[in-house]
Amino acid sequence: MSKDITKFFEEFSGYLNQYDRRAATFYALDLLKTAQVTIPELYEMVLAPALNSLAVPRDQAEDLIWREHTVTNIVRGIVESAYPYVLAEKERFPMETNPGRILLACPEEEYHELGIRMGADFFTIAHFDVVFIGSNLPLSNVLSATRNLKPDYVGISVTNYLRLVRLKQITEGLRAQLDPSIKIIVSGSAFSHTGTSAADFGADALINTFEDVVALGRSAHEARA
Amino acid sequence: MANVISLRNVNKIYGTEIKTQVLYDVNLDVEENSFSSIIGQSGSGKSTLLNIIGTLDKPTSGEVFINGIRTTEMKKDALAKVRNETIGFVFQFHYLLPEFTAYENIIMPYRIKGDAITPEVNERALELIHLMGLDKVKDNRATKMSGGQQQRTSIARALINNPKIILADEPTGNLDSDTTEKVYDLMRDINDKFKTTFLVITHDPRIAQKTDRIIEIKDGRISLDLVNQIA
Amino acid sequence: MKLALKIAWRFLTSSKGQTILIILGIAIGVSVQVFIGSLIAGLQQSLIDTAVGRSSQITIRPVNRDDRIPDYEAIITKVKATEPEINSISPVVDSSAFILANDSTYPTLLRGLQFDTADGIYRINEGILEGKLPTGDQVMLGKEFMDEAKLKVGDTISLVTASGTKRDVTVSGIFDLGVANLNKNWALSEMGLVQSIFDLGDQVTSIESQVSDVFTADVVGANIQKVVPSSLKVENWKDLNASLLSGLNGQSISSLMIQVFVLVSVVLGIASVLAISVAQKSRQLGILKAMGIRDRIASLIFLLQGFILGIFGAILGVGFGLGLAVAFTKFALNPDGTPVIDLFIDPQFIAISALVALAAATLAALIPARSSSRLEPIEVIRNG
Repeated sequence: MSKDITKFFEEFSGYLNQYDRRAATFYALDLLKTAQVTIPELYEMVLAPALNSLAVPRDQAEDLIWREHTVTNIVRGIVESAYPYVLAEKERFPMETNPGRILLACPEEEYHELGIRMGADFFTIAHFDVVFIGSNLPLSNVLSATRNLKPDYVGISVTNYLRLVRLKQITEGLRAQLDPSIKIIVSGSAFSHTGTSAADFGADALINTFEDVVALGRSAHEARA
Repeated sequence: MANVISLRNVNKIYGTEIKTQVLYDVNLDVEENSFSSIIGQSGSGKSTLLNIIGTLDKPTSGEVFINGIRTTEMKKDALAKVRNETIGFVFQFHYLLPEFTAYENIIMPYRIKGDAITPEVNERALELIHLMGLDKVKDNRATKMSGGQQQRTSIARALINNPKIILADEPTGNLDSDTTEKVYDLMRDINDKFKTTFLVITHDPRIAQKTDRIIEIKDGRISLDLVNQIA
Repeated sequence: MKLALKIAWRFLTSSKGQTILIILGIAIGVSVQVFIGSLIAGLQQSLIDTAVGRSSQITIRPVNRDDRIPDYEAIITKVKATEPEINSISPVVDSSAFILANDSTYPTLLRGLQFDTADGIYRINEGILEGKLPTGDQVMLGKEFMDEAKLKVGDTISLVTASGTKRDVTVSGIFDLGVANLNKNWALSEMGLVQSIFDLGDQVTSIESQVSDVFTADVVGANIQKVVPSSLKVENWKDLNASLLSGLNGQSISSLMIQVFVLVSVVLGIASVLAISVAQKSRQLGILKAMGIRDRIASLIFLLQGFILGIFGAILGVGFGLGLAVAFTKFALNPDGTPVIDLFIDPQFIAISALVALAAATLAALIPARSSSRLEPIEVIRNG
């Protein structure tokens, strides 16, 4: 199985490298259709590594950013098209109860939202009630969305490490102005890049994989039981 | 790597009648050849911190080590020598001497050092001028240059004595975004080329997110200290 | 030092208007000093010259009015030896007489002189309008007398003494000593003529002299008194002209006062302008200090600014002052075309004025120099 996935990754990367949207999309959706991979497998072992392998190193000229944007858009289209498979997988996925509502967003000026968009599907499969807000959400809007939607979890994703500063403002704002005990989970590459943990920013958990999502859902269930 | 800047329990209190504490027990180590940014809201104490590191201001208590030397108890003339030879300053408002040309401004720290101008120093000044793209305006008075040119002049001036440390307070604060990019790229090149340590106050996210380390100052304390371990 | 000089020079040249203004201020102060000083010195010189220039400043005469001085040569030698201040010294034989000319009788002071030495006192040679010095039985008469008596050179007149002795003499020339009274009342001749008319043998009535510095006449006189016989008394012009002296003194003091006040205003002017310039340059100073310039060099910048301003101000001021003085002597004239007052240009006085202004300018820069040394770079950096 894992050998197959390595092959899938290589083939998919090839299409992505040529910016071949059609081939990449058909190939990825076909993998789902033929049930050769699950959604988490596709996202974690094919799409994400393929994207990362094409990421522009920081010290390289900024005029290569277009490359990153092009492949990101191709992958986003695949993720959006996969939604029926996500719902189908949710039906099959064993989960005792609904773990609660989760609100997913990125801090202000954080535009890297594809990671948390994939995460949204993970949460959906794990039977969370997901509200995906997305990129560039100012603190005031995090507060008002939380106030209006009354989620059990607020999930914040940070890629650019400077935005960790805003993450701290968000956790402090949520706890000071709404609910000191609200569950805040965080995600994104900024944490591994800086060697920081959720606790450094006053958050409750750092979640990066489908496995982490499932564990969170289960622990919520246990806590309620 | 060795620390070129170390602060130990630095406190700063302004005023004698009405006391305002600006810095609270700040501890900070800055590694050689690093490129760090300090961010924080105005009034957070970040400029005071930079001025204390630069020996322009004295902490009320605590210790400051620059390049391993304790500066907190040093006499004025000795501090002037440290500033002249170890630290280069770049400020938001350029702070060039309007009476002098770009070249004269750039060479000024060397003249203050008191050595005669050798062909090598002249060469270095011209190299810096070239690096900063100032060849055409090097004989212009400071007032006859654009904001970006003035800022690049002040960076060249900060570099003439080949200091270990460059302290910059909002170096791109009043520059347009293109010039900001240029100035940042120059500083980064110098960081690579001359192994100069940079400590830069900025409110510009485009700059901060590219630095190796982000130090956030909030209410006189270091509230976040993020080191980007992935180059 | 070199750096401080360069910065000082650049600071001055980059705000030219202000610099020129200060230099003009100093220059005007110095020129007023030079002009007033020269004017008052000239005024005093001409007053003294008029009063005692063509007269004996120290006179040795017998205590007893009717006595004569027999051994005058010895006394003159002795006086010359003891007092190097004595410029000219000359024996005189004076006596009252009458001149009989064109049937009129005029009283006169017949003065027997030793012309070669007396010229040092009376500058008779300069004062000869017509003819020449008298020899033998000749006399020389003043301009006013000649006009009044309607005489001309070569005429013969008679000298009559109080005892009735009469001697015919010829008029050898006409003199003008610049004072009408003398021109009218003096008849000059060789000493021998007077001695023979009055039967005095080789005796003189007084010894007259001039000193190099007229104001030392009293001291020199007192010294001379010590070496001459007690039968002789030594008079000096100062004792005889007390009121003139106090006038001159007053003038000297007022001149000094003017100069002191001019100096004070120059100092205040420079100090205040430089103090403003420290405030103006505090940003530059802050930058220089942030770059590590030492306080001593920073102070030196302002001291040197004062010094440079002082040098230019002094040079320009001396030029102005001399120009003003020349203009004054050229344009402020008497009806006869001579200057109202001959200015006295004393290079030493001018040099001192210039040096004092230079010192004052540098000194005035001390205050801003001190405040520049106290300026902390952080004040500039923090306040933008």
